Amino acid sequence: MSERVAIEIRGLVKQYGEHRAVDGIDIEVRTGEIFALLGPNGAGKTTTLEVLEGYRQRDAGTISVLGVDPAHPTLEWRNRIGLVLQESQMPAELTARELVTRYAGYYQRPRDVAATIELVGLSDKADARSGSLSGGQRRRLDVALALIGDPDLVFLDEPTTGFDPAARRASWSMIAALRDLGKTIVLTTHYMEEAEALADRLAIIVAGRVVAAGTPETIGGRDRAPATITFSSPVAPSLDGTTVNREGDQVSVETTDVTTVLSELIAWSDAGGGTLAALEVRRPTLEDIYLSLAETPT
Amino acid sequence: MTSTATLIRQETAYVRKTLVRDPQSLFFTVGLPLLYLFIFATIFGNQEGAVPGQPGLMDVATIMTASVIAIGVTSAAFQNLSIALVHDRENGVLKRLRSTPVPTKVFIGGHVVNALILSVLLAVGVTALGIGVYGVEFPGARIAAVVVSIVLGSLACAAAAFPFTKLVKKGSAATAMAISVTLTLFFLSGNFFPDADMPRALVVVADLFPVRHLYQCLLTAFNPNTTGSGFIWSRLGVLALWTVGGTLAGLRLFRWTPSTDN
Repeated sequence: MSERVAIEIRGLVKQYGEHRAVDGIDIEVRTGEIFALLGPNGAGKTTTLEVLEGYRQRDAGTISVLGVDPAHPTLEWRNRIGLVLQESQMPAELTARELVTRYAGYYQRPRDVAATIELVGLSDKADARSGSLSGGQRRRLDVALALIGDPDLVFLDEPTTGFDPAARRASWSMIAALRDLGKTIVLTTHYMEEAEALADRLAIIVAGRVVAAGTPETIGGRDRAPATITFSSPVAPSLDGTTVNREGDQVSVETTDVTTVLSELIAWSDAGGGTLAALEVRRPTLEDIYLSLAETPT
Repeated sequence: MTSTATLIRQETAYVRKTLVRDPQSLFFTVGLPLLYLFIFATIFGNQEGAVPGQPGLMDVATIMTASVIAIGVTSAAFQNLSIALVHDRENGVLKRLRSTPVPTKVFIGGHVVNALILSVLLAVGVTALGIGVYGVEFPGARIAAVVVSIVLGSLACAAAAFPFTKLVKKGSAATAMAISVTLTLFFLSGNFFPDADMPRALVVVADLFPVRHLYQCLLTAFNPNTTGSGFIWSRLGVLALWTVGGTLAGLRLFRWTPSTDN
């Protein structure tokens, strides 16, 4: 319960025939945080998750999940873990309430059934058979099943894939609420916005390797990477030691020192040098960092 | 923490609900055996005949009652169970379940107890229909032999269902494969030919599987000419062997994850 580190992975390798799906991953997940595994399809995210969940046996490396090697799961360990698989179905004939109640019986210290259904926003669908629920509702029911045992650690494999934007936002607030309950959450996603909105820390996985890890703000040197200032002006300024690009009326300046450049630009504009119409400062997005890393040949 | 017995009872109730709310499975499991009884009794009417291995003459309705109970038990305990298990495995239901601390014995217990209850209910229904509508004689003192045969037959079929699921790789193939196995066994075991003297070779093959043993046990128990308690211990022994062997094989071969994993 009180471990500082919820998950520790050292040198994880998982091989399918000749193909190394996971090729030496080191990750540490701290207790109480939301940790995202971000990467393109086929990068090894789900394989990594399924090794952590105890579904797949690794070929090399050491792993500790809540102090237990998931290759040898115990019932006590399963009591502390909840998970949502990438594709999982439940018996279509049972209602949401029946399924959650059924799962509650499996755990030593289950949460309240009605409160858990409420938490995932399915109260008005509690007596509908799971087969009649929409994809998004079934996914939320799946989350309710993951939470009913009151786990310390929750695995979510692509929790919002296929959702419309409104459903995705709703799921994000639900997942953020889980962190407020003190849960440690590990999720996989290939949506930048999702990692940015939810993750305390994340690792970007490409071709079975971690190519960058950190917080969404600092990952891959994002905080140190130059920002881009753009505006439109019929004339371009000349700035000391900074390259100014101009395409028609569009002027752009790349700089790591936004404040200095901005004050120079304002002084230049005030002095009648040019206009600063549609001024915009754009920091590199997570997607910029991700794309630059994902494209790096490994 | 709920006790294992309570958990198995709850699990059985959920398994039963899942079946009862699925009209297609319900038809294959419950409707089809009853339909067989109706068809046979209608075709053969009140004929009487000698049955290989049975003393005296038996009327067709009695033979068919025994046969259809065997068919019903096989449907409920083997066919329905293996189809349900393959579907749940391929759909990820079992994988999901595996992540919970539910003990394996609770999961298996829920399915086996449900199969047992269903077998007994089917047998009661078929017997009632046979006695009430077709004039079958109540087995009287041999009722114990009927009950023991049904329970052991049901356990043997259920135990065989778990390793059988290993042979079925796709959910869409489950129904076809399970029904072709059971239909073949019904033909081999003489369930559809009450008075036929089956070729020796076929009998030898049929006796490798539980269905014919169960059918013969029930025939003896329902035959009014049978003297004594009606138990055929050698055949019950084979059913017990299938129960133990199926369980051991099931523990080795049964998978929780879809065939597409790995």
